[in-house]
Formats: sequence, structure tokens, C-alpha cells
Amino acid sequence: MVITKIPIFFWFELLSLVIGTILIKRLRGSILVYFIPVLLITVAAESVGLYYKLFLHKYNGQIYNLLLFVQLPFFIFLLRAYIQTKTTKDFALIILVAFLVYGVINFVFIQGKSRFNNHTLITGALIIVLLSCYYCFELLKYGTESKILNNPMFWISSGTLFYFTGTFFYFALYDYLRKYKLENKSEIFDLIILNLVIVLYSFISIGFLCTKLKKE
Amino acid sequence: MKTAILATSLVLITLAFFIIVFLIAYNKKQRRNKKEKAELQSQFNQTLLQSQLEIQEQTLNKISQEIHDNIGQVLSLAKLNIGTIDICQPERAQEKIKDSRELVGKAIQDLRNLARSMNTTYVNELGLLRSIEYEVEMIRKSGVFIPQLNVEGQPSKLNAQKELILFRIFQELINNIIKHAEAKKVDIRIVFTEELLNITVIDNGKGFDTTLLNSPDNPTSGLGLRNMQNRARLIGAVFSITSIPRTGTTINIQLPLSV
Repeated sequence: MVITKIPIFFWFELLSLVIGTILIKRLRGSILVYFIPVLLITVAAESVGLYYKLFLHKYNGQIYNLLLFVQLPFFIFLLRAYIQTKTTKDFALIILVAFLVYGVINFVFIQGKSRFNNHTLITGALIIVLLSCYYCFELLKYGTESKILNNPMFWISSGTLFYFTGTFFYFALYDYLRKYKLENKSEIFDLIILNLVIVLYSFISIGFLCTKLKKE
Repeated sequence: MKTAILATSLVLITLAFFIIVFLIAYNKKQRRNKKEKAELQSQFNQTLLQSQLEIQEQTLNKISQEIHDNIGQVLSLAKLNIGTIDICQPERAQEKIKDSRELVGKAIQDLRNLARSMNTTYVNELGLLRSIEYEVEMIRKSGVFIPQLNVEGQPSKLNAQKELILFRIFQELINNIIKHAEAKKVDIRIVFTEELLNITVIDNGKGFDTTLLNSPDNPTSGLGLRNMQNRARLIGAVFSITSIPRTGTTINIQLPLSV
């Protein structure tokens, strides 16, 4: 059975894409609408990646290298858009540009196309974690909503905070685990990351469900 | 399987902990904000009430003064005229009756003006600009100094409570000039723009050293000005003072109209 081979997190990615597409009317007029093309690219890249890995038994790192250039800048862009302080917003924009430049340099000259660009992922994850923390801090400082659980960005930023914190530590240790041939002992880390992917896409779906239909 | 359960539990527990801590902190902050907002509202209401009372008090003083200095004098003169009419001299008597009629007419007109100002809600009814114009007219009549009022821009109606507090600040400013400035001339400029209401009061009085306002040695110094500053802050306005000894004082109030 093909379906049983597909990992569970993929279904959560697909679910968030489906929910986003169904609720597209609600997302219009907010930056969250850009999630739909990003999720579409993610699901497509993940499908090709899984096909390569599960059926062709080929290395799929190049696909994920390209996906990094869509996902990471998008999350930085999204969090930046919801940050209120102008100086932090400007700083985040500079960081975004610098990150893209670094990503391209890493992809072309340092880690290359054939190897997974974990350095790009670590850097991007660190930026996203810091921006998510800053967004949560602003939410605490300036938030006026009586029910924070109805705020879509609360869920999305919590998801990014958790997922990218896990990703940061996991890939920061990636080279170390490989170097000392400890990959077989990293099962728990793999499982934590898989759980965090599920958490991220579940929170994105909850965020979509929390958006309100804007009155014309 | 055991590892999977452990990993999932770890993730879920951390996540739940984060969300609960965040919710507690957020609700605490919201409660504090609500409390601060309520305190600010109560302070605003208190200032509003105080301003109303002060306007009433000032109005009563003005009425008492007006009755004593103006209407009382005019009516006494009319009474004197009528009392000294000699019917044996019809021409003189007619003249005196005419004079008395004019005096009574003036007294009636003054009483009408007074009746208008006795209505303590006149600031709300007339609006800020008309109330200031009326106040300036009263000062001009009193002859304490020469007030000059210039209005620029398209006047716009403000929130009634803000108008009342602004008017009270204006009254207090004028009172200060009368009491302390020894000014001969006072320029009042009111400028309305789309975003701002700008009121500037410039007098050519004796001025004062503004550094004394914040002097810790004399905490009561400039209490009235600080009070005006606080009132302005409560309605979102900026109150600034520039004064040069022996030259005069300029006071500026800027109220953003979008607030």
C-alpha cells in the first residue's frame, strides 16, 4: 500500500493547505493569504521528495535545498509583517535580505547543491525563533484582544517558535551526530522533529480557522 | 514505540506548558491594562467635573461683578433720573425719561447677556470657539488688557468633554495673565488644521523664569500651570510654555484632532 508509506506529517501539511484553500475568502486582505502558494509549493516539494526517497530510493536533498528558499524567507516575511515596532521591522527586512544572500552563497559555493544546506536552515531557524519570540513579546506588551486564543498569529507564531527551535537544535547537532556516527542514537530527535512538523501545520490550520471573515 | 510515545509526550508537555504560561501572562497583562484604563477614565471624569465646577464658579463671580459694576450702576442711574424728574419742566422731564429708557434698555441687554452666560452648559451649547470669543469679548469690556483674537482654518467641532476641558484651560490661562502677568496686550491665535487644533496665547507681561516651575525647593510654584499641563495631557494635548522675564509669556496647546 502506497498510502501507508507516506509519513503522517505530510497529511498535516496537506490538511493545512486544504483548510487554507477552503477559507481563502477569510484570508484575503491579510498576509496569511500568501500561505496558500507557499503550502502548495511545500506539499508539491514534499511529494516529489517522498517519491524520490520511498519509490526511487534516490537522494532528495536538492529538493529540500530549494524548498528552504521558499519556506524560510516566507516565515521571516510573515512574522516581520505582524511586528509593530518600526525599528525591528526595518531590522528584520535587512536580516531577510542578508539571509537570502547568505543562502544563495551557501547553495552555490559553500555546502553546494548536492548536500543538504543545513547551515542555511540553522541560520533561518534562528532568525525565525528570534522573530517569533519578539512577536510573542509584542503580543504581551501591546495585545488588546480579550481572547488571545482567537488570534491566528498567536497560533502561527507558537508553531514557528516550537518547530524552528527544534529544527535549530536538531540541525545544529546534525554534523556532530554524523561525525561521531551517532545517527542511530538520534531516533528520539527524529521523532521530536516529526512531532514538531505536525505541531507547526496543526497550528497553521488552527490559525486559518481563527481568521474572521472581513465585512465588505 | 516507546521512543515515539516519549518524543510525543515531550513535545506536547512543552507545548502545553508554553501555552499555559503565555495565557497566564497575557491575561495578567490584560487585567493590568484594564485597571490602568479605568484609573485614567476616573481621573478624566474627575478633571471634567472639576472643570465644570470651576467654570460655574467663575461664571457666578462674573455675574456678581457684572451686576455690581454694570447693571446695578445703570439701574441706579435710571432710578436717579426718574427720581429727579420735574413735571413742571416737560422738556427736561421728557429728556430724562428718554435717558432712563435707554439706561433700562442697556440694563435689559446686559441682563440678557448675563442670562446667557449664567447657563453653565454654554460651552457645550456654543462650542469652544464661540465660548472663547465670548470670553474675549468680556475681557475687552472689562478693559484689563487688550485681547486680540485670530482664528485661522476651518473650525471643527470637538468632543464636548474635550471642549470643556480646553475652555477651562483657556479660562485659567487668562486668569493667570490677569492675576500675575501685568500684561497690556494679549494675542490669542487659534489655528485649525485637518490634524491639529493649535491654541497660542501670547502676552507682553512681565514673564517669569520657567526653570522655577520644576524647582524642588518650591513645590507649590507653578501649581496652576502644572495643573493645566495635566489637564491637557488627559485629553491628549501637548501644553508648552515659553517665557522670558520682562518680555512676556507664550503658551501653546496642541490637540491632535484624530485622537
